Amino acid sequence: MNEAGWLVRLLRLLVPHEWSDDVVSEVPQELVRVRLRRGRIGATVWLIRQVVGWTIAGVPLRLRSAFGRGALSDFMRGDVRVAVRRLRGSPIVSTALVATLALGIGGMTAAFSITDAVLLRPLPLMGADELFAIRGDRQGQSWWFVSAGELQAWKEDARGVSGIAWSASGSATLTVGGAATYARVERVSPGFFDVIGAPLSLGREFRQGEDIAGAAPVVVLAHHVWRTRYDDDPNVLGRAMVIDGVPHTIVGVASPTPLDFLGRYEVVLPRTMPTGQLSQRGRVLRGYARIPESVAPEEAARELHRVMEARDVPSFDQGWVPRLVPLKEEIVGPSRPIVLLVLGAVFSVMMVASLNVIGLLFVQAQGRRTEASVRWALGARPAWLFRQGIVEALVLTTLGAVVGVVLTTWGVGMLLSSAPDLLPRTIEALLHPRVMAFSAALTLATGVLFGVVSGWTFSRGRGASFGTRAATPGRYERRVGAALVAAEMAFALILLVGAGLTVQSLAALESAETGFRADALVVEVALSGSRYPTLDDEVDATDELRRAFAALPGVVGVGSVSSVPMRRTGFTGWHVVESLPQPMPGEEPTGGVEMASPGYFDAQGIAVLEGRTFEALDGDEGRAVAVVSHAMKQRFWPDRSPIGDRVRYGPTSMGWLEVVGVVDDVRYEVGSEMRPRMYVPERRGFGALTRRSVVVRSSLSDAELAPALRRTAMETLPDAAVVSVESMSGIADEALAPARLQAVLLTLLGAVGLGLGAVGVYGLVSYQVARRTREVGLRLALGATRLDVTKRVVRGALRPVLLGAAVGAAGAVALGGVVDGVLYGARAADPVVLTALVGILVSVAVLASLAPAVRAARSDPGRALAVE
Amino acid sequence: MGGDNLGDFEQLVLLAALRLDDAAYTVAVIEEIRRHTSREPTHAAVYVALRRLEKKGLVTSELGPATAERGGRPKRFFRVAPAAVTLLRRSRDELLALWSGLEPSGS
Repeated sequence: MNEAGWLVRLLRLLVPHEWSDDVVSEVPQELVRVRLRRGRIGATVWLIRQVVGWTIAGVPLRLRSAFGRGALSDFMRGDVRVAVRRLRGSPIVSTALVATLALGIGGMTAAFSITDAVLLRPLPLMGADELFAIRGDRQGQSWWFVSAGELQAWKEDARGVSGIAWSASGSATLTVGGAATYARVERVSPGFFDVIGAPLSLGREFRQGEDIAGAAPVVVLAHHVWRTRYDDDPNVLGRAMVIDGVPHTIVGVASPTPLDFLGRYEVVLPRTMPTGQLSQRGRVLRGYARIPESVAPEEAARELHRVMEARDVPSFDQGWVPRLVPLKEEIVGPSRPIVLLVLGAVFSVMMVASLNVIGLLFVQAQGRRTEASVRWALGARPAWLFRQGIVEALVLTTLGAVVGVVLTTWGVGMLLSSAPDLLPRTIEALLHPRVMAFSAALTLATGVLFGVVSGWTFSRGRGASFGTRAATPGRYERRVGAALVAAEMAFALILLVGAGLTVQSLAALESAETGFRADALVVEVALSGSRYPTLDDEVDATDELRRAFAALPGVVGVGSVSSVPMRRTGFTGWHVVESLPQPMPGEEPTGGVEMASPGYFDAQGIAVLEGRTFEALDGDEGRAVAVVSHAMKQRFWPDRSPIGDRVRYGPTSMGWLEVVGVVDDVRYEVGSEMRPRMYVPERRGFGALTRRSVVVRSSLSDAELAPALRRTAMETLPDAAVVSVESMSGIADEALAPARLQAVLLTLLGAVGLGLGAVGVYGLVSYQVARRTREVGLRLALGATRLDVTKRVVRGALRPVLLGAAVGAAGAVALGGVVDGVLYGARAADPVVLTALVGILVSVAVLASLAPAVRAARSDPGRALAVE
Repeated sequence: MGGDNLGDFEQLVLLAALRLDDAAYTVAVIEEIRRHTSREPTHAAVYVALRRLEKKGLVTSELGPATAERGGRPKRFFRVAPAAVTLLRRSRDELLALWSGLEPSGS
């Protein structure tokens, strides 16, 4: 109710009178509805859009109705001419002002355009608000994966849900001109594109029944594949494409809209629905639900749960509860903290820049008090002088904004082209209308704010001070000056601490123990399901590949694994230990599970802490063994050896595995804890994975070895596709790239903030001290010693500096609390760093005040008194 | 009203209002546009466009009854005038005429 009150008042202020009843009758009521539908953040974004919309549309109309159509422009034109003449009169100050403003407004526009593109703009799907990701929650874990059995049941039975769809990213081999190439594939449900609201460009999507094993094989092409491989040929429909050795009929071409939540697919195939009980259980599919606006997401999730319970859908684990998360939230959620961090940093730079400008304008206006007095004496009214100040500030700000936006357009373009994968959503155009509106509003607001300060200062110089000349600063002047210095200190400090924390976090990430050697090469191969349908086929192929690699000259170690560290999150399974009390069904603890070959730990350089690793016949009948990681040992056998105990990673039917060794922990994800992990022999794995990685260590350089590996792989397994050949150090670098860019960006912003802050504080403090020359002379004439006077002046100047430092330090500590969860290894405001930073800024202020203070104290009191 | 052509946005607003028949108030028009396209215009944009169209005689408006909700105020309902329908038809015909021959038929 309270909120609606201020919203009504705000709207009445913005909207022209004759319309305001209409607007007030709709917007606040709609806000309530939007909040229910999109949550608090979504509603805030919506509200900001509406207010900005009405500011842009309504304010000019209101001004026009208040002043009349022509009156306003006539009235301003003269002021603008005077303002331009003035600015040209002091080119250095004007250039400094415009440059500072360009920096602030340009940076803010860039940051906003990234925020807008990543977080605010709706997904490019029809009715995107109605789309939800179906997550499964169980015992504090939450995954965006559900099982085929659940999806089938929901599609058939769930009421109040207008569509259910699913997808899974994978790979396949395309045969083009006789050679197998690797292709990324998205496997989706019939009607998928219709449910997610991305109609095809051409043809049709998969029909019901095409997802059943044995149906005529069909394929939908990604738009870019159609463009590049088929030259936009509209007659592509009906032609055949050989995928995994089987000719598929092309039935459609997807829309060009990027669907970032899918992998970067080249072709789309129907996801074949498994019929066996066991394969229906795996939670491997991304589920999507379209829910009409009239149904609350919680209600729909309860309905999904009800269907699960009613149908008794088979699942490996009990106790999964479906939860619906808006699809956009699911996609952009993870990048929100980084984007907001950058936005906050840029905002701080903008504040420091603005304070500098205000400071400069303030000083300039002080200096022009004589001029103001003359104009006052000649009959100018304070309101006119005030208006003059505002117009001048607006002219300045507009100039700064134009320069800033133009420079930023280049800058952001460069930044994004150098790091295209950093953010999840494509940034199409920086000069999006909304971004333009934002910079316009920002410019206007900044201009008016500056104008008020300089206009106010200027218009105060009326007759009273005429003749007395501006001498010792008055109370108003001192207070404004002190407030500016304090605020600038505070913002610069927060900014620096923010930058310091990111750099600290990057250092922590880079120095974090990875557990593997960086010099191995990794060959990833895709083994298509039609050629290598079973686990044994896949393991045989991998064995063959390993032998071929081992025979290459210079190779000293070869091993294969289901997923290599630092590239993917790895596989997950149960961690059940035989000698411990057995968990209740549905409450089995989980952890990482990887399938590894003999020689893997040696090739990857993972240290063996206890026992042994896999040998040639491990995994065969009677040799059911497992190796556990250090973290897993700590979790289940903190004070004894696990060797000889038995473990399993699935239901009892999958058998117990005897622990034969303990190996060191290996980091799979940047910035996360070492996860307990179990390694099982490849023949004891979950099933066919369609992808395997072979790790090769050699005495050769990467440049020599990589081509040989690629060739050998293609010769050994002609119908498998080589996905990539990469060094472990390259993989780790790639994983760290976002953190590195973030640190560079924030350090840059921190440096700019420090520079601006130091210049601003120096300028204001020295100006204020210099203005006290007369007072110093007076004190000296009355018998004060030079030291006393200097101390007194410096102390006075430092008071606002220290106040600002205290506020900034408090802000920095608060910031530390916020980034704690976002930045790995960054401790909330390190006291040593904080003290050092405060030290830098305070010494700038001491220097700034000391020089003019000493100068004044050294001078002859008589001369000092004469100084104006 | 004049014979001027309709802007792209004006067409969206008019078509949405037409679909809503006599239930076309600003929020409903936005909703209708959002449901059928990938855009969500602001309240200000749609309201100002409707009032501009009203000035041109392409839309009429009247206040509806106050709603029963707490603090419910009467909403302004808009109705598309026949002249607008004529203009919409003309825009559509012109566009289709220009499109013909540029697309394979049936897709």
